[in-house]
Amino acid sequence: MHEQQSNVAANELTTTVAINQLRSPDLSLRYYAAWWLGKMRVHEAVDALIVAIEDSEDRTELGGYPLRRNAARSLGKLGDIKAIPALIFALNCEDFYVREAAAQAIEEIASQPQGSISAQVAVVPLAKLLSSQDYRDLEQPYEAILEALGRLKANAFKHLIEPFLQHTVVRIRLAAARSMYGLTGDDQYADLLVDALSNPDINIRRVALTDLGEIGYLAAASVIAHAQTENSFKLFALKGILDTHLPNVNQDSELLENLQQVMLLMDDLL
Amino acid sequence: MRNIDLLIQDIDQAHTPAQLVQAVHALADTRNERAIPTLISVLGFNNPGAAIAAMHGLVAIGRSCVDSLMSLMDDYNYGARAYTVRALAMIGDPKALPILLSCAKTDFSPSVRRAAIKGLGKIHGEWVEMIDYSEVLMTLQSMLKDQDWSIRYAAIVALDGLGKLSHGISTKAIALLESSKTHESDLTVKSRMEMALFRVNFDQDRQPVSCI
Repeated sequence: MHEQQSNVAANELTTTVAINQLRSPDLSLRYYAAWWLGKMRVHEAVDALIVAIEDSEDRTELGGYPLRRNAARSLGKLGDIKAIPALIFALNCEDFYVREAAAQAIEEIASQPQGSISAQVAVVPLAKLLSSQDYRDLEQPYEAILEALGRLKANAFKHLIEPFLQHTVVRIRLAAARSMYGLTGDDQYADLLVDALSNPDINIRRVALTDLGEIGYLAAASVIAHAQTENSFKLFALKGILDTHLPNVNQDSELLENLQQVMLLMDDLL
Repeated sequence: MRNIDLLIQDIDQAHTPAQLVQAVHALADTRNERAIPTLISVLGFNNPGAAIAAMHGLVAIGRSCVDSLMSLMDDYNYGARAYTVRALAMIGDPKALPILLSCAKTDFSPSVRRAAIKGLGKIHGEWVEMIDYSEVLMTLQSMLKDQDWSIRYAAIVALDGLGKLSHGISTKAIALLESSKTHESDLTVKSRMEMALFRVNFDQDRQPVSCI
């Protein structure tokens, strides 16, 4: 995400060709087209990707479904609510990475203004995947599931989410904190993410930064700007904070002033 | 200057990331020109704390490290290149302008491009009369149409800087900001543009752009 490059080869594809390639006899072309259509935000491709997410021909030796994974990721990027039923179905795929991509895609769709209500139907299927009582277990893509439930404000399942704050894996604990913040708006959960900005593992610091940007936690802006990670991660996290709060600045000059301070922090990260 | 050699040795012999950061700070604090090659090599270490300390050390040494920074530019490590570009931008020597322009336009790494673009707006006030700004403005104008929001954001920050100079360039910079206001769709980028325009319109005492 943070070092995006324009892909010259990809631009040689055209929309129609790529959509047709989702049914190509060459499975590698299908796989590539499914990625490309999301990357290029080709909204006409939604129906074809919904078909592709049930593809059974592209299999790995271990039984994975690479095309389904890419189709799910691209459906998330396209953000069309039409994809929700297919994504819910994919939550039960035997391939862990398809389930993960589907949960992430539901979260992405739910983060759009028109998606948050339509995606409510995914709450129960997502919550069902949290039924494990063993918090060392990694059977499910917990990070993605927890984050999607937080985005959907699934208050009815708070009791299933909260125990993941104790999971043995740090990233899952952070996802639970982000989720609980989504549900409750309570700063104590966002502050768990702030604490993780001083974790010795740079990957954990990056995850916490991204999460704080996603939840738009304004109080953390200055800590984010000074975290020990690459500038680009910090820049994108601060952008997330601005995108969350800028729509509310009308009539609120104090908020605007605070957000302008965030912009000055961003200037220093360029 | 035995002291400098010892400080350089401390950097070579640092065993932990924290020790390295400390050693780089110590060397940077000397502001000695003999530290230049070592400080430049630290820009390429995979340790942001050390690289930032080295970058500030180089900026404090100032113009006398510009030639070395330009000739030792790391073509393979974009992290190092971004720090080099930032240092050149902060020193503000117009000699570095061609490098900033080419990095802004063609570097494959967005972080290097952002640093270079921002640098285009940071040319030091005392050299402002020596600079031909036409290519700078043309470059910034095309950056305002880039697909990547962060590139457009950097271009606005640069124009904001130029708009505050007490020089003919400021009117042109402000006009560029005004003209692209309506095309901008990203909320954050648009808000940064509005902040720049608000500041230039209400800031009667135009200040030369500061060096850091």
